Amino acid sequence: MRHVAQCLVALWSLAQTPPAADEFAKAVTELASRDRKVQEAAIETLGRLRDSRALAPLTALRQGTLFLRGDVLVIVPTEKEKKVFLKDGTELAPLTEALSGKPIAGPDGRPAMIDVSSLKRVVATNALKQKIVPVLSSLSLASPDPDARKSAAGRMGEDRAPESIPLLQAAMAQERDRWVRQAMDEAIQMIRLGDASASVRKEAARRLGEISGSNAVPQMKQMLSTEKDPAVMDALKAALKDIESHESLTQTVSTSFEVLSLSSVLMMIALGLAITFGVMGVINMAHGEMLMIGAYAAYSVQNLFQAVLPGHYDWYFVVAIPVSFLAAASMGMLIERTLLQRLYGRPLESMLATWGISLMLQQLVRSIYGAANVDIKSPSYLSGGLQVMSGLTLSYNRIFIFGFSFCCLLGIYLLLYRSSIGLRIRAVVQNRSMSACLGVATGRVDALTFAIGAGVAGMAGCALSQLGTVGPGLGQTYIVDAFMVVVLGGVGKLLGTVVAAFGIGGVNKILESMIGSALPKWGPILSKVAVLVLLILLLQKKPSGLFAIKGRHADA
Amino acid sequence: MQTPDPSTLPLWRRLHTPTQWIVVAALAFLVIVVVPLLNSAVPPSSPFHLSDFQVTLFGKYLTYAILALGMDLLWGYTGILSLGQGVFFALGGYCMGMYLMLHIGLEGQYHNELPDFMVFLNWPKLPWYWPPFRSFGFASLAAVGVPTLFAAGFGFLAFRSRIRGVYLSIITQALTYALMLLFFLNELGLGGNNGLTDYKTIAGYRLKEMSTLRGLYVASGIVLLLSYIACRWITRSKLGRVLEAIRDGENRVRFSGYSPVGFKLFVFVAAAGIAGIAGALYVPQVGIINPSRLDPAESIEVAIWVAVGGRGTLVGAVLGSLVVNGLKSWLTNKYPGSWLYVLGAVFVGVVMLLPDGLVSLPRRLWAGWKKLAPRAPMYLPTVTVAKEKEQSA
Repeated sequence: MRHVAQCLVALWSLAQTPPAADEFAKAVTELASRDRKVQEAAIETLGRLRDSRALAPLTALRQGTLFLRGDVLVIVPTEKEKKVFLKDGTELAPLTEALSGKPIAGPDGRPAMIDVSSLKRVVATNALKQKIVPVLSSLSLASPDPDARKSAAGRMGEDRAPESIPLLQAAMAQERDRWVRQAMDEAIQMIRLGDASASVRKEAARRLGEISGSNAVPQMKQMLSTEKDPAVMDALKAALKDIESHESLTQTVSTSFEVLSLSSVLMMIALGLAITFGVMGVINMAHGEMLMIGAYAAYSVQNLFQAVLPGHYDWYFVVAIPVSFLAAASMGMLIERTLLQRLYGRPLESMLATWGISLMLQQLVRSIYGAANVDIKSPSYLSGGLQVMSGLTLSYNRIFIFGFSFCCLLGIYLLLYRSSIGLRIRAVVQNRSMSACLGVATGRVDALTFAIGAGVAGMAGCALSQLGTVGPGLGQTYIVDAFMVVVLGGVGKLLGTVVAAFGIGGVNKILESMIGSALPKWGPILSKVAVLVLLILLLQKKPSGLFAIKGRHADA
Repeated sequence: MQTPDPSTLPLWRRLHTPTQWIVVAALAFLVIVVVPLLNSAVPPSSPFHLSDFQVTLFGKYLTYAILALGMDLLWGYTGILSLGQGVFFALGGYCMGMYLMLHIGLEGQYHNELPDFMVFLNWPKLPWYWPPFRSFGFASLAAVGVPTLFAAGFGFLAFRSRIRGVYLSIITQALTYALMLLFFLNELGLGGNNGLTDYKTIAGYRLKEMSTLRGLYVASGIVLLLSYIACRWITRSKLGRVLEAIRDGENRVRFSGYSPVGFKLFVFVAAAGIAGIAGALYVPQVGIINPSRLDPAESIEVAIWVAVGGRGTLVGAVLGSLVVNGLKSWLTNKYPGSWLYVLGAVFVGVVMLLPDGLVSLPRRLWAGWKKLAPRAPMYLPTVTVAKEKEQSA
């Protein structure tokens, strides 16, 4: 959100500069001049004006894609897929006006495809192109997009041109984003590392260690062999050590964050499984396919929005969450009413029947959507990430999933413990026959719990679609882990599922990195085997899971 | 069929009535003698001729039938739905595969003493666990020994902590999944993704020769017959009675003073051993063993073979594995996209409509014909309040 606000501020400040507008337009037009001197002056003016609109024409001039169409300066896109090539060699391309940045429309109001050979290329000599480079960098430093500013600073640091220092310092003074400021600082210090004076080099190394400038590591390591001054040498070593320890810290934090978000998905999957298992004693082998249905529902909603409401694309995700819940829940309800209801009291047969369902659902999805994985594009508010430390960005996707799964957990908690239907569900879990005697419609409770469990899995699938591609085998990748969570967590207590999900997710990852450091290729697989062995050993002590309901059951 | 006091009868009479023995002998003769003769002695022009492909396909089905026998012992008679029988099958198969790999000799792609995949991975010599498999005797022993030892260790831990029912199914499935991942690793030294393949000879006989394959086919048939008799013997003995009692009410067995752990462990290990033998016979006939045999889906399929034929009847297990696999071969050939739908429908349909399997079909048809009351359920269902109400009403 902060980025959005900054963009707005930047755009607003751009709009606030009308006096320079004429000068800007004049300079852009002069780029097309045949006189090299005039071109040079125009480039300098554009650099001085610091108007980021100049980025496009300058880049185009450097790449040779700036053209004159009559008197109007236009830009031809570099991407081949935007162009059309006719058989006779004619090249048609949509053009954008260099000054306004707007596409040139044809008579029908849509972007016109114009024959490139009818345009006149604006020529720039190599010397002129060299002049453009620093202007482009400094303009990028003023770009409204913080990521562009950051990468511009990074490029300047890599180039190590001492004349960039004042530019960077000026930009830094105006910069509001902490992380961009840090990137600029890092670039300045990287340039200073090459300074003739030993004290400047030493100070730069010290500062880089302080701000954990990891981009400078290759340069500093190289300096270790060339540096003569012992004081600088010490500073370099100390700085490298600081950066290294910072990097291992960010590594740990980002891994644990990843584990947390994946475990929370696992938790959402296992919650539904555990509830249905608790109520009906049935393991739904098609539970993974509920996940898949949720993900494909999100995909369909996305496609629908692309086709019907392209302007409101970002809203698709808001719609996709309830849709995926409903899709999976109604499928769950259908399975329960048609199959499981008739198989009551035969858990093993129910398991096989749901396996059959899962095979059919997978094949069905293959016939409808194709066997290949499909891609789901995150809405703009979920792309990107939140930078919390230097070198550590937590993606909004994962933060969202983490929060979302806990909202689901809270919802289920409220449903189970604070509603009358929850009371009935818990009664059936404890003693089905007695509940039936007391007037609980156990059949209806079964159907409802099954639908809710499936629906939660559907939402988990919708959330998962933001993390990677979606394919017909999506359910199978998570389901074995989810089963283990249910076995470990025991039945009937939400806390068991939560602890088991994060326990299995966390132990898996920890073992993976531990084994991985000793035997590189074995890590991911042996950790899975080890988790299973640990689970079996744990069941020796706690046969019905970590948090089983205590009671006098002869037959669980 | 139950005689008043079976224990007074001789062993062979306890297993089957004379009529039944005649049927068994006739079927065995058909499978073990007639089918190979139809391939070797009948000219290809005759409509009764069986092609080489058909015979080896049949041989593969026979090994599946052996695997199903073990599964039936486990699930049909003892009520343990293990979703990991594919593990023991694959372990037996890998043991045989290692023997076959070592006897490719210099005929491999790289003309090296080492198996091709090791040459490819630049391994200087065989890992320590490979050389013993040069001996056919050791490999055959290992094909039974490795699965049984593994099953004994796993089963001991599982049954001791009273993991049963759905829990046991899930744990065995997780085990299968974990082992599949493990066998995919090249570093395990068992061929990784590609598995073990490209065999040339078995015990000195060329695997390309039809006579060798016929021999393997006959061996599978004989092993199937022997396994059937052994399983029949187990189920007709007192041990078998205890197993069925465990299936129908484990706690009652426990309350009667028996410890189910030993019985369950025995049957789990026996089923694993049978699966290992089946795997060892499967590999030379099919010519490859790779981690896809460890896919959890393959193991669940074994359960459906047994369910289709009829649980708790050994004949049903054999019949089911032949029917389902025959259907699979035919459908994947004819309508490639349809198999998973059909398989899924078979899972659902058998469980819903034909819980006692194909074996019960004649009886049910007969019962339907005579408009008799619905058959008695094979399992004692958990008595629910609703049912009791019905009965008292």
